[in-house]
Amino acid sequence: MQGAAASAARKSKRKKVKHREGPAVTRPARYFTAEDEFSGQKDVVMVDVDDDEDDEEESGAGDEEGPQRKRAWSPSVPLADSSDDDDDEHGEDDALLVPAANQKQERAVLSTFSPLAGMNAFAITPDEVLALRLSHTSEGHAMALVVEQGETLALVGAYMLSVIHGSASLSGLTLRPSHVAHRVFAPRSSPVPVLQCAQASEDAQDTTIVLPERIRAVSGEGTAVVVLQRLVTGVEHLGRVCRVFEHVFQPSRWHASSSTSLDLPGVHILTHAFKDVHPFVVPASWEMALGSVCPDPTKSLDIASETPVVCIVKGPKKSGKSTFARTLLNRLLSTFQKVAFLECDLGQSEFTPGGMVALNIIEQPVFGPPFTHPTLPHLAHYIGSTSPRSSPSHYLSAIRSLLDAYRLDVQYPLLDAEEHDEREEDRRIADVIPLVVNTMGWTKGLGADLNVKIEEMVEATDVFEIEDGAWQTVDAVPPVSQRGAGAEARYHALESMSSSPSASASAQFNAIDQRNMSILSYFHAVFPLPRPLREVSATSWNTSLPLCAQYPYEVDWSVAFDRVALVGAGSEDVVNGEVERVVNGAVVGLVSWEGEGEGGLAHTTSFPNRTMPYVQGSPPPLPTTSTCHGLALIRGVSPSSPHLHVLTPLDPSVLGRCRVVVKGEMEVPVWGMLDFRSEGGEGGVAGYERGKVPYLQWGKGEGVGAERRRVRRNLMRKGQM
Amino acid sequence: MRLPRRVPWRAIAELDQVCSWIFADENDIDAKEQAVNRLIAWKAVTSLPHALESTLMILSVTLLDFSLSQKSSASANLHLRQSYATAVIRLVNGLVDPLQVGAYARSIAAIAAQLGLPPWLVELRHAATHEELPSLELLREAARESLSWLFNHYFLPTLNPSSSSPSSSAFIRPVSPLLKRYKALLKLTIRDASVRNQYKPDIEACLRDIERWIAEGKVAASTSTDTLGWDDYMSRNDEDEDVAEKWALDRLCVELMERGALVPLSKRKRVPSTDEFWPQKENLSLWTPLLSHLQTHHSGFSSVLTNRILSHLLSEQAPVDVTLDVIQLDPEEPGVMHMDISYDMCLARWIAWVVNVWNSDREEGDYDPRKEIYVRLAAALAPGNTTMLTRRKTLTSLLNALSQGNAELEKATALLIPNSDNVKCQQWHQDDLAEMDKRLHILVSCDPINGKPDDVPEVTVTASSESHETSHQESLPLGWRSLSPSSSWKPCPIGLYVTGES
Repeated sequence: MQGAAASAARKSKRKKVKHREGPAVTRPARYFTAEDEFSGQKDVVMVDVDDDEDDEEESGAGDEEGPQRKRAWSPSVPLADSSDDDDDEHGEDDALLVPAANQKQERAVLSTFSPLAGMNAFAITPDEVLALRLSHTSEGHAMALVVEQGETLALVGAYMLSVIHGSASLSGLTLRPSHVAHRVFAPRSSPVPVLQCAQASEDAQDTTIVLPERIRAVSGEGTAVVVLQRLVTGVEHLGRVCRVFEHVFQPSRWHASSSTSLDLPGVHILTHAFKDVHPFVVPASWEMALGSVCPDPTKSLDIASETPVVCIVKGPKKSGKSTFARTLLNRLLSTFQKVAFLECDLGQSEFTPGGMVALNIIEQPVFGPPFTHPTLPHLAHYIGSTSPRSSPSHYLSAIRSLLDAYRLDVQYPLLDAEEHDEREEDRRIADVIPLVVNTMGWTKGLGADLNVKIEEMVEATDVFEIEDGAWQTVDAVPPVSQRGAGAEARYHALESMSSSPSASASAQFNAIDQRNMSILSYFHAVFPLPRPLREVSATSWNTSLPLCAQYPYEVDWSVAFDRVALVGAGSEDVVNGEVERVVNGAVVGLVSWEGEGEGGLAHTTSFPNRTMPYVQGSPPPLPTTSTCHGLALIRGVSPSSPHLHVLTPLDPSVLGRCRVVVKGEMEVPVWGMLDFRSEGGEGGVAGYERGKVPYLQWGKGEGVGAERRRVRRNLMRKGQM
Repeated sequence: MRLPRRVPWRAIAELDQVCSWIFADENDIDAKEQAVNRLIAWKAVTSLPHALESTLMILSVTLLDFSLSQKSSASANLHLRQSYATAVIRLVNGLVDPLQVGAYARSIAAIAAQLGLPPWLVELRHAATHEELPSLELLREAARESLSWLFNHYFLPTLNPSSSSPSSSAFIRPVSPLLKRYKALLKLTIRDASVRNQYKPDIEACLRDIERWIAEGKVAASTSTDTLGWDDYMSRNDEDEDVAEKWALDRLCVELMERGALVPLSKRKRVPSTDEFWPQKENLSLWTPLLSHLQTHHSGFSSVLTNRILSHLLSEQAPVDVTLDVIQLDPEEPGVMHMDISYDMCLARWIAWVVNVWNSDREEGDYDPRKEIYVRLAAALAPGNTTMLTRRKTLTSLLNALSQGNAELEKATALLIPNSDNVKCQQWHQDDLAEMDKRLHILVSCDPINGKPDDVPEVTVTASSESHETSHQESLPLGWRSLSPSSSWKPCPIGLYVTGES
């Protein structure tokens, strides 16, 4: 009800096809249960919720809307307090700051599925798992769940999910029976994906998997059978490194009464929503837009392969832009074997740590927030800052060069035979790789100009714009697609995910926390060997030791590096004698730079012995002739020899190509400089007492102006109210 | 947990060195150049404290001025004036902006006065921004003055934390006159509703003045060394700004708790007419506008207020009269209050009101204080604790009021405050132990802090980093070497270099 009112209020003057919420009844098939399924659910709704509602002050007033009010949770309406499912998942609150179970508060039911051993939940033996021929198997611990139509199941934790019968939906994606075991990361810090049984498809093309007999007996038409396996990656322990995220992979202590355990380590069923835990809900307008661009994978494959899809996602900060881009990517992956993802958001990157524009190749749907799937890019350029503010033209030329590379090498890939064999079973399209472009959330001022230019370069077939209801001036500017560049592009207007502005104020996991977490996740990640045009996502995280205790590489920079470059406002003033000081403790981009000629690296410059190959004021490597392979942390600089100690998750085979080091404004988060082994990070670092730890100062500094400059925001003048 | 701050220097001695480069010898241009180079390098490492950034800007203009004077190029004077002016503007703005902490703007001069910044620098800032560009002579003098101000107010206190800061005598004017004015205005409008519109602007102005007072208090807290150790309310991730705000709010709450404010002077007026454990109705209508206003502008207000009252109620000594600080808000009702239970009771009622009212329409994500308050009360009332005898009645009533409507807490209260007939049972039964266990469980489960033990699934991922390294050791490119446990390298903080000989 609330959502309908809001969308009516946000009536736009533009004459555009809008995927707005219509009456619930006329809505086409949707991800979440439609109206009627809820009436069936009514008798499952927890009794005490109804009781609670009666306590509410408005209980006398709402008689005419009686039956609706009984609905604890409606998929069509953004939950009253789901205001912070915003894009970069920085809307959630921390356990310590969250109210205890407030008895008067309405708590939406998240899981109507309740596991009963032998009825709808089965522990399956390792032999049975092997017989299912899943793409990944973990030792021991596996469960099969039979989910019926209308049942919902919200799980917190990390697990592998395979659909072996019927079809199930998760995070806006419908999964059909296959041998693929999807890695699902569902921390409390992000909207929790809700598993449901999806509409059975009429098509018989689905892979049929032979179920164990006792499970087949209870799995009929209209049910989905999923196999959950334990997923051991070490990602949970990143919470020890960055304690803001401590225990996010289990229900917080306030939820003790609202979570039931599943007989699978690391997975918890969440029965009710909480102020800090929200279900992942796909707004109706998103569903329609997704449906129109991603053809039903079971039909019309030919059409899809004729017109290569290039999508661009635009929208302001915290509107759900990243979430939409991820959902769109997942949708495309049910039709295509590979999808390319171009990240233009330097601050909130999906697959790479911030500070770079990157072109990633993705092969399997991603379930989880960005820090759970760091991925080595196919191509990337290091900008060195979380905003293109200080180097807009470098930023644009980096994006242009990635787009050129996509059109040249990626869009119509050459399939090698080995890979072809590997994918015999895969029915998804392989000869075209569509593109999803995620733009930055800086949509005003210079940011708007940059986004316009990016949109012109991308020449998208589909433009998705998430509208910020609060920001009305957008109506004054006609969308770019009308102004020529993408004249043929289909334009999709989407509703914003966030509904309450107050949510961000109380956000516990803010943008900075998320960014810190993704840098730390990157440096702790263990990546597989990179292969061309394949997805290279982290398989596990080495979190047993803090960064300060991990064995570094020792690098002789006089041999290994041709150039050290500094980027960022003011960096051109750094004199040669100070460079070693500047790179100590710095996060740097490892860049390979080809071409000797114009824009390439001039080897003619000879550097005097024992000084770093740094030229004051020299520009960063040109995007057209360079690529950034990843980041490194220079954890120490030798005062007496040309040696650095370097930490990087990159494979040694790549390191030889990285002859250039670029230092920008990115810094290693303070969390990453601490030692979680000593009193949870509050003692010293690696056996050094606090006073001996360089670059860190405990306690408050004295003196006026010891704070970093804080930018003043709007103040009310006298008399304003 | 309080995170340390990232600083650009390896040790404070490096800052000391820069300081001596700048200030040791005013005519040593080479040393100043060294200082500029070092500050530029630091700026490329991490963002600098504002004082250092200003030092850098002023120093670099001074150096430019010097080198131009050597070349005697007269044409560059305009550039110099512009550069000097920018440096001064940025210095003043950067110092003042972080202290614009209230919802309403304060004048820059007022803040600068609190900082001890020379007023003429503020005037110069204004002139350079909005009027004619000041003369070179004046600007040179301003640069000198700024540097010496930075030396005294930033470098000295930072390098010698023990030496008394010049701003330690931070001063806040008393807030009681504002409260008094507020109370008088509200009384007028409550008595005669017809004048409500007439006095509305006055009341709003009064609320704004109280807001300004809080902003001033925040500035005082951030500049006063007295507050450095002040972190009673510190919880994780709190910024310094919050500390300052809470300090200011705390001072305000102390004033609000004086007799004549939240607690009426007249004992008769403290007794409510209804059964509900809330403050008296007239008292409520008097203070609700102010309290709600404060809560909307400072989300931490409710917790500061409840904490302040609670620590009064739970304080060890018996309620003694604080005649010294009594502010006579209501001159027609004089009278020094002797130790009275009705005062405590009235404050307790305010807690109950705050918790019940601001809890129902609480901002999302705010922390529910009910349980925490409950636990603190329960600890004081626990059987065997005799220190609280004097206030037992007050605390018990508050405990009851808090647990009302909350089944879990009601259950716990029933156990804590046994009915008299329960006490009779002295005979030891076999199942008493089980009963005690059960009670313990109920009580423990109410404790938000020690509630549910975290059963972290201890999965130690031994991601076989060593085997990973050794297997690639031979494939490492030229110039790269993997340090292994067999080398002499030992774990050390990021930024330190420990040689790794094999």
